[in-house]
Amino acid sequence: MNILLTGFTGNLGKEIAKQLAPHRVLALVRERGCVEPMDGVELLQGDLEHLPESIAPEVEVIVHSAASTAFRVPIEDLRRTNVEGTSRLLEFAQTCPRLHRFLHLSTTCVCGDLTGFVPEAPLTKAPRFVNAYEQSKWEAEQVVLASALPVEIARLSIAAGSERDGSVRRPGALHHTLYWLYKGLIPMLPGQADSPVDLISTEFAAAAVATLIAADISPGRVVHISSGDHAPKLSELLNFLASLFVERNRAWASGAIVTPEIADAHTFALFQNSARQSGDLLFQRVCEDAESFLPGLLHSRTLATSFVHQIPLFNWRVLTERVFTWLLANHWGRSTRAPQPCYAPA
Amino acid sequence: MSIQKTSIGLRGLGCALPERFTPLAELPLKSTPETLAAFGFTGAYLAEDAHQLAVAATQKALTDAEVLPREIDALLFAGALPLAHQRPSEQPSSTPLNGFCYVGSWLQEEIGLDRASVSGIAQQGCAGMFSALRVARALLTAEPHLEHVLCVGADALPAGACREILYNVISDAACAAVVSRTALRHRWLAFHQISKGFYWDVPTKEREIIAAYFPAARAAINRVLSEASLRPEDIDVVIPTGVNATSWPILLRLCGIPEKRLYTPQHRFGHTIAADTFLLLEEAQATGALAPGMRVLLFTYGFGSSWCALVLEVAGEEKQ
Repeated sequence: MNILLTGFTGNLGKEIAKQLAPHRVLALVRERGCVEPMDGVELLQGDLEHLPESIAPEVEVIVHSAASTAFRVPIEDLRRTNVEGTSRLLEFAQTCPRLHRFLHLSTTCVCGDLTGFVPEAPLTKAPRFVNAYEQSKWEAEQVVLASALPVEIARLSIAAGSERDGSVRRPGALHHTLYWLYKGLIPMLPGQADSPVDLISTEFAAAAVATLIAADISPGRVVHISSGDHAPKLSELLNFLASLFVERNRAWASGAIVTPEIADAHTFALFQNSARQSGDLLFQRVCEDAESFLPGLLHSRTLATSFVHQIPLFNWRVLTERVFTWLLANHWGRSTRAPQPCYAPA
Repeated sequence: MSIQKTSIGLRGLGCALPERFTPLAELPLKSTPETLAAFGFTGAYLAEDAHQLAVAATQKALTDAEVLPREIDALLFAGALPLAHQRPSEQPSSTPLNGFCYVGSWLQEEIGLDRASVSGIAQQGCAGMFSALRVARALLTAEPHLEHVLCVGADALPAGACREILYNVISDAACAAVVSRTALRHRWLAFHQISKGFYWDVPTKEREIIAAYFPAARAAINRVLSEASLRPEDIDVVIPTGVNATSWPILLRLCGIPEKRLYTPQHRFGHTIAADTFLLLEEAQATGALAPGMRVLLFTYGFGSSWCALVLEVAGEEKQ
């Protein structure tokens, strides 16, 4: 099968390509010369504005993984990549005569402020969004579902990193928040002690994509790639992180730094407002990082995960420990050196 | 619910602020006056001599307690800054002897606390007065022959110093309390202090201190409530300090204490290092906000770092 993959250089791209290995993977990259080659993957120069029309006759499956995950940019900027980029790829897909599947990778963030049980189904009515990123990804889903092509949507929850060696290709809001937490700079987190924190591993996400590709097409289907009811509770995750921090940081070991308070939405808003009023740039940065990732914790929900039960589930404690250890060893992803795997590949 | 009634508490209280008030726009500050105004500050009281404020506060406390100076068994003087503990010599010289001119001893002489033993409480930042009260209670518990311990706290920043510390505007002030066994205004129910030496280097750890404030404050308050066998909702009044007004509703919400229990100050004086709580306790008492039987929570944070929580019960006992 010839598979066109976008987002190869993103957090999940390489692992997805690896797990699709029995197939021919054509990875769309902006600068071919800047991307490390990978066995079994053909690098194609291009992007969502310059799609390689010459390969259209060969493409049988498109896995659309590219997206802008910048949480703090205006909606117009996010729409350019996430909505208009997706529209252009759909137009391109219409020119692929052998195409029989267009798999759009979305995010569980499109649920916005929905709480409770979320079924694997299109969200036809827009919820209230916490940030512009969520909105742009919801809009992209609408564009995909309106297409006459054989489309499927896979919504991914938060990809924390590799369960194999803890590596993180592109540290994001989650990893920045972990850094501030470790440094004792986060006094409180929004949510409830029993709010689920739906983390998944890179390998789990990629395996789910590969399993989907291998299954029969079901046009219009929406699936959740999430840990579902296996997700740790916020207090459980914080206590586990504290147990890791205690072993590596004297301030945690002595009790000088303790796990942050879990605050309700109103209390957290009061704190954010106070931090904003202070004009302190570091605290504003902490709040911004927190704002892009943490508000989800206020909307406690369990995602239906009928499909992903087919894949062996990772252990969230092992994943969390490996990711933290990797981040610590690699200067929280800011290292210019080659990443240092902390665990031998399984 | 039964509360263990101790026979130790505050018998008399006195505070003193300087006469000179300077508005924000005229103070040396780090942030803009607008930012600090948003946190509830209007300006600061500046003293020429904080030790004279200590004298004034002490005299008020003794009068309030109806105790004579010579009836005081011990004096505990609390000051946050090293300078607060030194009284300039009347004949200054360049010898190290100048460093041994202590404010506690000077105060004993000024007021005539002739029978009192004198000690100092230091290295507690804004929590100095709380520590003094704790030691006073411990003295009365350990030495049954003692009747009255006088605690005095006084601080003033050096002339021309920046008047802002961690988004708080600092006033000069003094406070004094007579801790006794009888005729109590406020009965002592419980006290808890958490100290974290990790934060000793204040300039280096400024932001970490801000971030540590809420979790440690909540822990200290939870612990003091537990020691007093009280639930958060059993607290009738929370006496704030003069620090950043926006922080108190956050802290009360984290602790589960209804926000309306927070005493609303009528007089804004900024943050006075050691005296805030007692200025506001005195004000609450004077304005009738406190009635016998009420449980009052006092909380403060001091550089070092220490988080202190004290629960008192309004006693309103008659003087003999």
